[in-house]
Amino acid sequence: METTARFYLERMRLQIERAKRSHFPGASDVPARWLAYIDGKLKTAELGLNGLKDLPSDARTDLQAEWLLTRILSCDEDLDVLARADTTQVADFVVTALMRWFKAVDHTSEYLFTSDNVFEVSQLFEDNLQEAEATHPDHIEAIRRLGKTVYRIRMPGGALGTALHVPLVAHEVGHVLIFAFLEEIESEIAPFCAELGEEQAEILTNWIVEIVADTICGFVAGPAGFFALHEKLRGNNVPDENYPQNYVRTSSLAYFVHRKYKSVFAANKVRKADWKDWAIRSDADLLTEIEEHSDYANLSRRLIEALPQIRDIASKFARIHIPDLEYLPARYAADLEMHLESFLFAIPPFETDGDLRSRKPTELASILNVAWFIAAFRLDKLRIKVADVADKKGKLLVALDQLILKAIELSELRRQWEDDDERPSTQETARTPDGEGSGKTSRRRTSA
Amino acid sequence: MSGNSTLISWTSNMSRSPMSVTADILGLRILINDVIKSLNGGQELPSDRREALSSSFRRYIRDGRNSRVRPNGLSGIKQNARLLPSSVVRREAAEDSERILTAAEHYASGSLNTNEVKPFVAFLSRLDTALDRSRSEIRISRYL
Repeated sequence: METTARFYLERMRLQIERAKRSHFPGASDVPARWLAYIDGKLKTAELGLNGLKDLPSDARTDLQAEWLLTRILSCDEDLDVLARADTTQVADFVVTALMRWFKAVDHTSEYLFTSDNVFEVSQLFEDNLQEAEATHPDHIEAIRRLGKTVYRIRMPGGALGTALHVPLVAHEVGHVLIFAFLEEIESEIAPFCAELGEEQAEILTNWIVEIVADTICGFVAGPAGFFALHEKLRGNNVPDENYPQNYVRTSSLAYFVHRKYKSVFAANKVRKADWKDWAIRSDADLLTEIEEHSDYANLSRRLIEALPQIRDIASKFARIHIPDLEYLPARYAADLEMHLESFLFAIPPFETDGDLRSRKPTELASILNVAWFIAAFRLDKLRIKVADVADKKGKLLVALDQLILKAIELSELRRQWEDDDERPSTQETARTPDGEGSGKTSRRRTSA
Repeated sequence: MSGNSTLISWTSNMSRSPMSVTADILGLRILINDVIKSLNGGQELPSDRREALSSSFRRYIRDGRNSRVRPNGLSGIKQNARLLPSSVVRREAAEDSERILTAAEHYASGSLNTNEVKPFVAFLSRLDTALDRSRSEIRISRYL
């Protein structure tokens, strides 16, 4: 065992050194703290290994030997998290923009963005879960420095990554908000579970939490949240213990968006026929589609009948805790008026119009909503030459995706310059996790 | 956000991996075994390790956030097995949790009363067994 452990320890150290040379998004120093934590764990493991050889071979040493190996192997998994977190996996400027959403929800927690094939949020680290056996001072200090909670935000990257799906991160914002105020939201949910057994109540609670998170997605990301959700949640309409039917979720968010932004759609001449690709069921339709003999028929009925109230609870909940993140109808109207026409001429909407000195960087939700308005209703008006007519729509969407990314990038640069003008002393060069300057010209924000 | 089209599994939805949770359990068991040995007449443990036991129990038992994390509240996992060590400690402590926390604090400060030793050791032994059994709830248990 000692041979393997020594080998792995050395191998892990080399991996950590390699990871230190990677470039991570500059929105936070969590990657550096995470590396220090792994390094600390290895040091504790090494202390354990050094002490092990002096002990007699018994059940206690077997226990310690297994702990050493699992702990070292877990370090490899921890390092793997970072392999998906560098700037080749997640775009620096997208992370910076999204970080503002999450920090507005819970600024005491930290967030690490990684690429994956799903959207997901989970706790990467909680200070109350960590290793009881931490003995090395660096390990203990690294745990302290990681803080209260580090959330891992997974989102599709590489070929699967598209800016058109970025609004869905707002659903994860919803989950973080729910977790931050769990007691409050649970007390609101509890009445819907009256007279249900424990297991059924738990399932219905899980479903309601998803509807609440979806509604918060619409609250933060506006109609773009609905369009993205509708795109991603198709088919597989069989409910399970964790999720209701997908069409219930998309229809619920559709209703929320239709009601809230009705006047904006009307003012921008979106006709009923324009919604044909965005099929939405009414609450009455939803009730008729319940499979009466399924295990979940009763719960599905309860959920559907409660949808209007759940959406109201979610809106109220969000308005109390994250009022500044609300994407208001007036904002949507102004964004379309300001940016739609120029966006159709392939000009990325990265700043507001008006006098040069008074222009402001465009908010992420604004960019996403103008872009989704085009994707949903005006793609044929996008002035981009496409040679291959047979595949025109796909090519236009890829071009639109690039324009969205460019808009986010430029708006973040604009914001950075603005911040730097206000606080010249905060200028820093981009950093690698060990704190050394990279020599690159981009500058790292010191706060999100 | 994965929706029900995504396979719910430990590995795809958890950041705290089965391997990490296994190591957490083993690490806690090592500490518990050393404390039992020490309280049964063995060598006294250094103060930082005594404090580690006390602070672990304090976090596991007293931090209410753990117990309120619902399945699917965040990551869609059915069982919050990443919380296994803390849930086992809480379950074994049950109604005795305040007495156990007091004993752990006394142990950390070197002021454990003679009449506290026996029930504290009994609890630690029970906890060690429960932690060992809890590993069956984690998908990995063999490496070959």
